[in-house]
Amino acid sequence: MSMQEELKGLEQQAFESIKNATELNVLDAIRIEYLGKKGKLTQVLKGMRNLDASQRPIVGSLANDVRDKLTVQLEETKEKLEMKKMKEKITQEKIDITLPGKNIPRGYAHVITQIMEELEDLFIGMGYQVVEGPEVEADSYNFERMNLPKDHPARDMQDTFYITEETLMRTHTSPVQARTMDTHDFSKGPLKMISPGKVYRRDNDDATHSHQFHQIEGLVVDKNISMSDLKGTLEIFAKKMFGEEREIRLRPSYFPFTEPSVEVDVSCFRCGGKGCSVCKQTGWIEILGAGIVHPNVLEMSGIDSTEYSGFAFGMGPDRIAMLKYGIDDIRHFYQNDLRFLEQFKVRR
Amino acid sequence: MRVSYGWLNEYIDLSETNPEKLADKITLTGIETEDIIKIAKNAQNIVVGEVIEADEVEGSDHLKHTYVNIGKNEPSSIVCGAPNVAVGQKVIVALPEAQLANGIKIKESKIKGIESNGMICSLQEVGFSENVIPKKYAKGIYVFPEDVRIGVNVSEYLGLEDSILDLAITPNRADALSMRGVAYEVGAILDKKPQFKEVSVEETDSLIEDFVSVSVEADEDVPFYSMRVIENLTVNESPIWLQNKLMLAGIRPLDLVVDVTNYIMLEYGQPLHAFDYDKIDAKTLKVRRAQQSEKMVTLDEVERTLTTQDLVITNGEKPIALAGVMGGFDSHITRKTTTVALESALFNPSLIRKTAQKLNLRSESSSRFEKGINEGTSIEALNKAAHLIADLGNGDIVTGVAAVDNRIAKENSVAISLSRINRSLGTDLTIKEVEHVMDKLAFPYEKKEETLTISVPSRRWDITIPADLLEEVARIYGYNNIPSTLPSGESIPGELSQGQKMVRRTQTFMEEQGFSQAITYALTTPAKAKEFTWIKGEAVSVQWPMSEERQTLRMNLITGLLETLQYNLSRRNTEVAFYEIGNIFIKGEKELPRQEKHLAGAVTGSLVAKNWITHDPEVDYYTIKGIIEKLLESIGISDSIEFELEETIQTLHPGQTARLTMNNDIIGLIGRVHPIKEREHDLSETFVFELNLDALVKAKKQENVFDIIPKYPGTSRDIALLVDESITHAQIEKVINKAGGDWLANVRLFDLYQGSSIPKGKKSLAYTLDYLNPQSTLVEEDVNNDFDRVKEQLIEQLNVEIR
Ligand SMILES: [Zn+2]
Repeated sequence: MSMQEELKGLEQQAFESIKNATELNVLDAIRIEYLGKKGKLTQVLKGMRNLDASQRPIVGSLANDVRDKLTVQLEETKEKLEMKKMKEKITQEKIDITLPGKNIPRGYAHVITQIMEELEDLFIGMGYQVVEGPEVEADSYNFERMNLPKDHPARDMQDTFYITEETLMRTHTSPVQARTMDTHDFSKGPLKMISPGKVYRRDNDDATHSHQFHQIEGLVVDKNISMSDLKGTLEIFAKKMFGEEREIRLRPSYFPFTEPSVEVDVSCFRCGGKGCSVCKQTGWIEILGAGIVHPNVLEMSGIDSTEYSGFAFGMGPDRIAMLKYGIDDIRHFYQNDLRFLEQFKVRR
Repeated sequence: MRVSYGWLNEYIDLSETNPEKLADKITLTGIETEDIIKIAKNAQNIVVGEVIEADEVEGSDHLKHTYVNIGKNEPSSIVCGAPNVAVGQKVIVALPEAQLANGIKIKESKIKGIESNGMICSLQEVGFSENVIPKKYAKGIYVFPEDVRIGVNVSEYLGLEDSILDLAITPNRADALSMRGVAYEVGAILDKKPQFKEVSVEETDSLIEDFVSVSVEADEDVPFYSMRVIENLTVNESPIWLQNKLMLAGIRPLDLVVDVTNYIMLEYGQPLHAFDYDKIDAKTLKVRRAQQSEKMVTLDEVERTLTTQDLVITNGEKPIALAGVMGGFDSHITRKTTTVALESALFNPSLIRKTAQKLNLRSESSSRFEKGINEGTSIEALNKAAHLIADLGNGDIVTGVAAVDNRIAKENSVAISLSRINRSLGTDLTIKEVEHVMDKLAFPYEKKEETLTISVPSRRWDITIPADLLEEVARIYGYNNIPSTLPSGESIPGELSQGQKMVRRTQTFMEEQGFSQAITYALTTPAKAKEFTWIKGEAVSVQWPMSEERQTLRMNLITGLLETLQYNLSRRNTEVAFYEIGNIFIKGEKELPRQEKHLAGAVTGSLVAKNWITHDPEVDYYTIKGIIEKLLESIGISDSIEFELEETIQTLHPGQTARLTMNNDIIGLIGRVHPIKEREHDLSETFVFELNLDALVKAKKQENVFDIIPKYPGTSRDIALLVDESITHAQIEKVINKAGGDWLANVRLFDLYQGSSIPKGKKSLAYTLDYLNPQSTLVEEDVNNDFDRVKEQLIEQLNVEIR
């Protein structure tokens, strides 16, 4: 048998084995059997030294040819077997994708905080600063500076938690405005601020009263601030907070620190103004109090009321949240029942 | 203020409007109409009838069989159960189809075999509330006076279908606490002039000087005091028109004199007081402050002890009335009174307010004195009342008025320019339009170029400055007509302060760790206020708390959160973890207490529910510590924060609590609630923390700086140590760090063991030490040397055994 025949036979034999191989380890054994350092092909090639010099290149080339073919065949078969094996594995790896996802801890932001932040962001967008202040206030800042001198009939001592003769739990966040007006440098631009925070009234807690609640008051002081500026600002607030279709209406009212003073109604966001139980069939919901800052209030902060004017407004986030979500009892906000808090888990 | 639409129509023509429309207009121009009240929704088939027969019904001890003339050919047969029904009475008859206030519809029926074609009614049954019904008719049917016409609908006399506008009067609009004031307001709204009849007083030959003279001790307490006397009077019931006006306004009729004073108060807003002249027992009255502890019996037969802050009318000796608040019992009007001394006065509002408040005697009259009174009509009101009393009670008005007038005559004029109006309102009004507003309000004015000087009538004492006139223009011109603009001045960007941003980030962080946000009450008990805190100092309490539970301002937030945990667990809520950001308060040196913003958290059990994949372990000290460490890392404070064992806070576990210090200042606490406290709150193991957020905001922060990402790999060495139980991780870490050498980048504890396989009183800790040289590849030998030094130092300083 010539070496050529021997090589062909080897090739034939190897191809047959590869074809029959169904496992990767068998395939690897075939590779070693034929192509390994001590493999059959190597054995055959060892016999080359007995050949004629003229025959050597021919047989050498044939041997390389067989090696290449076998290598390719081995690779292809290996790939095929691996694919087959992976397919089997994938089938076994099937899971129930409807089982619940892994529990990641998650807490909820308080609904009042959400309302407050929404309001803060709205006014920040219009160039307002957010200013906080003391919850225990001087009588002078809480009342006198708000144009409510000691004997004023609108000042009901019964409603106020006094700490001493001269200090009290603030009944609104207006004193923050007085404190800010005291120090504001108008050469650096107009004063535009909101003051959010907790306020206190001497009330018995029930479904509609709370001795502790929240307030956000706003104040703008500059040259030429007008009632129409107040109206335009509050229109933006009403639309952003309660929907684009909302309208507002101003009604004259009375607050000692503003003149003129107005109550501001927003067209009912439940019925669109047709009348429903939320708006008590009027189509309007009272949402905030506002007005043009009383000249006395400006003067008490050393602001010349003939040169500067301002508007102020105030609203209750507790009330807004109650209206917006139809919450029936203000005490929910301070009881912190998880079943209540988690109803407001979708952040806007 | 309850305003009868019918009464208002006497002053101003309302034929072109209706109650609903008018109420809307009043609301939008200045005074909120809270409600439109009708005594009866439907008064049809309720007529005046005369009882012409009333016989006992056989077999009944209370029913009567009556025949009632209702103006028809045949009288109606009606069975009536009222004890006071009698022949000759003119009564309210509800005929078949009539609807009563309680909703019951009258039907023809038979009672005890007798036809009953209607019902004889009480005032309650047709819709009046019990507190306005004359005492005489409080129980049983109502009986009309003689002069009513039979067969007509009772509404003609009782105003059942009148609309009563319930106005909510703000403190600045006390002028509308009178029908005349409301008439002027409605006149301005409808652009119509109200009409009032002239008041005339016919006087007799008797002279006031012979009856009474008045004096006032302090001018500032009593700006005006006046008195008239009416003699030869018969005090009876007042006529039905007068009674009905009071009832519709919510006042119970009493007798002619009292009814007239109330009627005049409603018409003018001027409270009056009537004395039985013969019981005053003196001819000189003096208005003065009460003496300390002086006593008097008021109308309601209660003995009052007065102070020098109360103003009294005296007969020269003793008080006969509490000025503006309540009359005295001794001189009150009775049916036997024949001579009346009638007072119309102005008192210092704040004195009246304090007395009424102190004695809890707020009334229609005291509240008007508090809020102010039209000084221009005090005498007119007195005259009209005297006239009515004399007229209706057949009395004679004595000539003259006894009076003290301390008022300083002042012309109230306020000027405003057109440009000021347009600048302040953002409008584009013409001077003509402004003049029209003043005309509607019936305000006299003078015009000089484009400035109006308004002579404010005494009925609008609330108007004193130009801003008050702006309000009048805005509301009468109409807020709806004012344009919408935005402030046009310079604009500066708005943004949250660093502290506010940090608060928001902290909220999000805590929520992502599984904590829900709570908002609890700042007021608590004195004991709870001072729990769970490192802060030394006094708590702040309110003077007049509403309850013991809410009297002292909190000095910590943890207590509130524990109550929140307890509240939720008792409602079977699980995985409860809460945080709160809020202020705490400490009594300070200055006027106001020190206020600090804190963050606190509390958790019991585990942070997530048991899950099919993992059974998350219960929270422990290290869970909370890890959360706080991550939070502090994200805030990036430059100074190091130390955790030191805290054993002294009573409410916290002495072995599982750490105080956090920064530059030797305590800035917070982490730890387990003391088991005694846990039991008190019905809680299992509960972990809490509280941090001073203000301190974290103020602390110096690290800057983010970009460093080259190391090109060379680092290496690490592990070490296991056996040490005495009492040695802390912090001690070991400190030694390692100190001896670590230049390339030690990080030390990480990866195992802690205490148990049977190691000697008692010992524990085993294992650390990984990471080494890195950012400049070049580490030399194996250098690292080995550094690592050996660490071992040596651990053995030397802490007597550890390397394993
Ligand atoms: Zn509605």
